[in-house]
Amino acid sequence: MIKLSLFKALNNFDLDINLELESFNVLGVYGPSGSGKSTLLRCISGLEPAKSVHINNQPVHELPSDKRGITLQLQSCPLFPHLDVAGNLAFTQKHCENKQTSLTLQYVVKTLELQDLLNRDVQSLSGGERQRVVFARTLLAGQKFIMLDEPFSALDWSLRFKTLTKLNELAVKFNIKFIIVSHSLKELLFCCDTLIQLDKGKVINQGASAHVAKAIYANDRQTPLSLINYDVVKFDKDYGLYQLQLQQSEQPLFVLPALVDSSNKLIIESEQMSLSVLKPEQTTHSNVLRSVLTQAELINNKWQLTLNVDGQTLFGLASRRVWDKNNFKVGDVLYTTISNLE
Amino acid sequence: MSKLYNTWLGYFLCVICMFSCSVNAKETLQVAVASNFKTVLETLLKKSPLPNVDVKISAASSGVLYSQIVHGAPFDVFLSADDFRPQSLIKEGYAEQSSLITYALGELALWQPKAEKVNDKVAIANPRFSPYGRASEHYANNHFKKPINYVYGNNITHAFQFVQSGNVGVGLVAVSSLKAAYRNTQDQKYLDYTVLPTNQYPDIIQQGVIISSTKKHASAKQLMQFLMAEATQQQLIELGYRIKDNNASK
Amino acid sequence: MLQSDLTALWLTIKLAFITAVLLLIFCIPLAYKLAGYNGKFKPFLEALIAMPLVLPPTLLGFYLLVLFSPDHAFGQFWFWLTGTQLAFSFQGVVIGSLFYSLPFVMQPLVAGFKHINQTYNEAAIALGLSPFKRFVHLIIPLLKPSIGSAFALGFAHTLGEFGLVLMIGGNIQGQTQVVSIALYDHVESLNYTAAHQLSLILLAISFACLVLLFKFNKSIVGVKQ
Repeated sequence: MIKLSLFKALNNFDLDINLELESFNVLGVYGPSGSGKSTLLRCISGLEPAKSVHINNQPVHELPSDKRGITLQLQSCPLFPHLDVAGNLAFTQKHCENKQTSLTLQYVVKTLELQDLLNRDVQSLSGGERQRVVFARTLLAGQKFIMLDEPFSALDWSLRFKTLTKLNELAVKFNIKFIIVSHSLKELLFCCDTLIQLDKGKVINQGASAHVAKAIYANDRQTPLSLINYDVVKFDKDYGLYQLQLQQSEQPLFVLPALVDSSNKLIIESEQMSLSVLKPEQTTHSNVLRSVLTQAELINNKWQLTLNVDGQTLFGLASRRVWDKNNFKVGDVLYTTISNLE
Repeated sequence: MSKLYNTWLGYFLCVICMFSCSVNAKETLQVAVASNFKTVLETLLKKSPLPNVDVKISAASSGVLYSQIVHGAPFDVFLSADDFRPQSLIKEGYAEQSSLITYALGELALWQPKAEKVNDKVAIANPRFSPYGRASEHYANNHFKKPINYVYGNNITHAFQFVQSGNVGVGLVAVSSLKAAYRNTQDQKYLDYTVLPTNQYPDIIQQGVIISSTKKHASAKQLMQFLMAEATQQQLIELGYRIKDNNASK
Repeated sequence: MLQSDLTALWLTIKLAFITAVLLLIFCIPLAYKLAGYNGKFKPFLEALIAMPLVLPPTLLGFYLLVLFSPDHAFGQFWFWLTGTQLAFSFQGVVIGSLFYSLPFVMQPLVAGFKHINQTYNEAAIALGLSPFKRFVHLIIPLLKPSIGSAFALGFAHTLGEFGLVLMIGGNIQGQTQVVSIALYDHVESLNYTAAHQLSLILLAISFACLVLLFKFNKSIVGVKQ
């Protein structure tokens, strides 16, 4: 699928990549600022020279950027000031050649809900609106290989997850491969199936997202984010909440509409979880899940807990005092309350 | 210590004296000269410099110099390329009638350096404001086949440059330009000209005058006398001019 | 108003317009290349382009006189090509004006390209646009303010051209006698009334041209931010 070999001397270190990734739909590139992520994308795109770049077994490193069959959306990607929003969208659609996908302007506008913005002047858009328009413009370049550098940093989490879900849908429906650069693991975990981690110009981790994410957390000695898959049961009009059910389970969750979208995935931070041995009937809390403690590790004076909820994994935290007080043991049944969902 | 100080003071005073001596020795004379006469004047003065007079030359077209004088430019002497401007200055009170001299008469030549002419244009100085140009036009109108395709240089030297650079095949130019060019380059083409008969064009009278507001009468008179001296006038003939009293030219 | 003065006015406006347009055509691709070039010869190239700013126009005129001469290669080439001579012709004065006003047209264009390069051009390359499409559909439209300012400056500067035309023009009515030369003639022949009249008209026309240009090009001094 993609084979990269590049070496580039940068200011503080050398970008030294030898990467071969067989198949992915959405690839995440994770790393701190200055680790070479943007340079990597620029080399693949052709803005900067690289020793050898192969995409789908075709060598492209000798070709100019417009002949490689890939689109790169730069981090600073500006909208063209002499055109309005509709003009900017039509720009790539009209002037990019060798289109590979059948995306139309109407379809992209509808999917990303940009109808109200079409006649607006580009200077009048908010940061979030601008990023969605920029993404739409990138899609309309019509290539099957799209690279995005921090594309949604100005969107709030609810809108960001929604947009990432649509990205995933587009990937599947139109067979587009995405590469996304971000320094937010939460974002990448949500939408990528494959991750690579870059540090000081070298790939130090690559593979399936969950796998790599776990390694990253272990390395950084942080509590991981939890990813929960669910099915929608119904929408309760009375309370304005969605009733969800964990996949392969009967346990329910009651969640605000803003957090629910067609991805059927929820990301939960360890700070949202609190543990107890009390059964749900015995408390006034809601969104309490029955889980089994499968692993516990003392890191940085806190206990990092791995909990199994009917086959899915949650990662939680407990202070040493709470652990000692309750005398938790691996194998115990614990009730996890997830806050900020309702 | 005081001995050293006295020595330095002594040197300092000597230097000051030397400077003031040299300043007092010569008087500076500001002379406004028509451009085509500038190098000639410099040549004349180099050969026989005026004792006690340091001549500073400002060259421009006669029209520009006239304007400047009328607007108070601090010139002591004005050597024009024509007679009209010095006489205008006298009429308007800027110059002394008694100082008026005709220091030279311009001499015209027909110059065609190449046998085969590159075009049918004729280069002359602009007759509207150049006496050389007026004289040239007079001659050409009486001797050339009409219609004449004139090309106007803004002064007689400019007309000369048109022919010299090969852009115009033939021109009516000043003999002094040709002689000066030959002196500089020894190129034969500058000898290949025909001096025009002087009775076939109006005299190109170059006059000079002392400016009334001058404070250096003595030096100014000295310069005027130098210009009209026989030796100088003979030199002017060699340099390509005619002189007033003696109508014979070389 | 003398007929010759009106001829001179019309000739001057024609000269300024043609020079500005020709310079735009020539300078836009050149400025594009120069703005994107960062090699070691860059200071020399920029200095070369700025030379007409510092050279006395009469000096430029003098060298053009030599260049145009049928005694030399370029003059001969022109004669072979067109059967005419460059000196004392309108075409010759146009060529001289091209040199004279070159920096005034180049510099706003280079500044405009630099700004576009820094901000928009790279994004367009990354989006996969071909160089031709980028140039025609993105860069030229964004360059409009710079083009306007380059045209205005080139036009205005050529209106006032004197020393160069004096040297190579030969003062021929309808061909090379531009307003500045006509003015000079009036002054030299002490015809001050005519000089005043002509100056006033030239001032008025120049001013009106510039007002129009500024009106239709709001940000003439820089590039629209």
